[in-house]
Amino acid sequence: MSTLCRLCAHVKQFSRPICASKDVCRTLLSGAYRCHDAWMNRLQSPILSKVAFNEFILDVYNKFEKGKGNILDLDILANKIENVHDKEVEFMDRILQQFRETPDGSQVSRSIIHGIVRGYIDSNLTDSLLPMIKDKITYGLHLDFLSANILMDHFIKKEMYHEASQVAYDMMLQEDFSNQVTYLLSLYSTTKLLYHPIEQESPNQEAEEGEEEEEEWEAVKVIDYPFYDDHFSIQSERFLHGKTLYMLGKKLGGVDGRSLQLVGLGMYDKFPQALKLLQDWMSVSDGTIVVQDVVTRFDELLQKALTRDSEEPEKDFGLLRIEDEIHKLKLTQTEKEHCIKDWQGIKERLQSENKISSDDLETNISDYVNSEISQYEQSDITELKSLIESWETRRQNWLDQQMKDFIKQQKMDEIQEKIIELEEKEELLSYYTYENEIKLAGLRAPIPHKEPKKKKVLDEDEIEERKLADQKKRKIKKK
Amino acid sequence: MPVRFVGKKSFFRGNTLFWLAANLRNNGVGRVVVRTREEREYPEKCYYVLTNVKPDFSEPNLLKGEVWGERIFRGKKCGIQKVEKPHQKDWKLIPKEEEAEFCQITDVFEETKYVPKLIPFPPLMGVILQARNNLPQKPLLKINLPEDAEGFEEDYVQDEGDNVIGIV
Repeated sequence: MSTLCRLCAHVKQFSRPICASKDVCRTLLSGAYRCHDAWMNRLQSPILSKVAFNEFILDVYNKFEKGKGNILDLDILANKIENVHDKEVEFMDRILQQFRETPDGSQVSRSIIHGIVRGYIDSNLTDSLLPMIKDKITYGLHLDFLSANILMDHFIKKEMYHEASQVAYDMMLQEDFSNQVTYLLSLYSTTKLLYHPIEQESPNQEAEEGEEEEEEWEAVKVIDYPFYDDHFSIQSERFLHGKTLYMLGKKLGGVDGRSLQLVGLGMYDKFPQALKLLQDWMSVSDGTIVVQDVVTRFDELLQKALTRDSEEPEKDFGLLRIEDEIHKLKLTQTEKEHCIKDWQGIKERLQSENKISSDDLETNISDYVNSEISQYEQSDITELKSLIESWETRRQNWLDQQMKDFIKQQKMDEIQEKIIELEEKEELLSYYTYENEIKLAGLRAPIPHKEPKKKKVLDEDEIEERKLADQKKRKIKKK
Repeated sequence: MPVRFVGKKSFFRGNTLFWLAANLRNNGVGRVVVRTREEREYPEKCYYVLTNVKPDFSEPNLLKGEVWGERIFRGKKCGIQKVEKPHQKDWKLIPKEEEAEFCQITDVFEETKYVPKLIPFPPLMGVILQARNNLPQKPLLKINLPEDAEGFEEDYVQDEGDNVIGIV
């Protein structure tokens, strides 16, 4: 409730309404975290104030289509995102793809990413932003901590825990929760998602095995092995959520941390690892180990875990897919039974030794995040302010450098033109002095090769017309 | 309709180094990567700590670019080198939590080069020497390694036996 009370004061700071309904809004970071004033001040800089987004995006788009775009154009564009329409989103999409293919695009600058994140949030285009963040190869938008925090905070305010968790998964894939605010927001959003899951479409059921479809054969030079690294190639959202919870729980520690680790490993289908961890905790810790809710969840997950047949015949190399590799990681029926047996024993021991806490994990995590987050805000705010200033100076440097290069190129062209002009003049003036040499050089110069004229391919009508014309000529001759 | 690929089976098990780098912040600088082939072949640790990665995104399959990293080959530190074959689908990323444990070097492979103690003379010279000295068989030349050569004794070991074991 305390978070709800802070809502009204926070919402007033924004010019446009962020939440559809004030009653459902929650806030973790203060309004000062976004450094709204410093961010808006940058627009008054001489570079950005002269540019209008809607016109500039077309120029930049055309430039990138011709292969002449550069980092400065995109940096200015990313910092001027406002009033974006659907068509402009497509343009932006295309510009980012084109930029990725340039030498500067191998590592997209922080200022560009920050500008895009803020611009898309302000334009309510986060639906288009998330797929771009996920596709690292095409767009290369690696969120830094500050951008990730602002984005997660935006989603949490709207109670879009699923979207906020997507950002947390991104941080998990980078295996970097070194920023405390990022860590706390990720912890909050993923825990909230655990207790408020969204309804997801069930994956398409596999085709019936009985039906024998005709195989399509495709010739390739080399058949690549479908390698599953259990990290970047994770496809299931449940696995991503589980791995994130495990990683966050490991950092958190205590009863809540252990509970998150347990449920995370359960969701990640790593039951033997979870049971081993539980046994280790039981041998070390004397107090409570996990919360009751997590025990129930883990039990359910273990009972529902999918299994594979241990005597399944291996697929032919040409038919192997990454799904088969994922399938191989599943427990066999005997392994599952063994795990269930172990789990029952551990559960009974936990209950008999009173090592299960009755606390509510969601409330505990919410309280923890709410109490902790404010102390880490200030350092991030200072960093963001200094970053905005440094980005401004860097942009100015880029522009100066570009202007210098442009002037240099212009002068070079002028000099080149003058040299040609002078050479021609000299040739005219000294013609009679060097008459013989010039004539000799003209004779010695290679004859330009002329390409043979291509014969025109005639249509049927043209052929008939020509035939008629020939016949007429012959008749006239006979007469 | 299932598709069956027909062709040569790939020997490699992994992803390209460029793909891994493109998925990582700062192009994976500072992260530890391993070639699965080296992992299979050698018992000692072989890995790279990436220092500079420049993938070429203008390539459609992300197969070109340049990578530099601190090389550890068979437990021996080789300094910063240009990574060979980053385009092959044979690379694996070591998770951050396992890095400290993985990078602990336990075994170092020490290469010893054996050189023969005796080598045969050139064919004609061997025949002449045998005829002049009335020897039952062709003579052998004893070679003395230069003792003053720096690091020579460490790298080369002469075979103790009198038999010729070949030339290195």
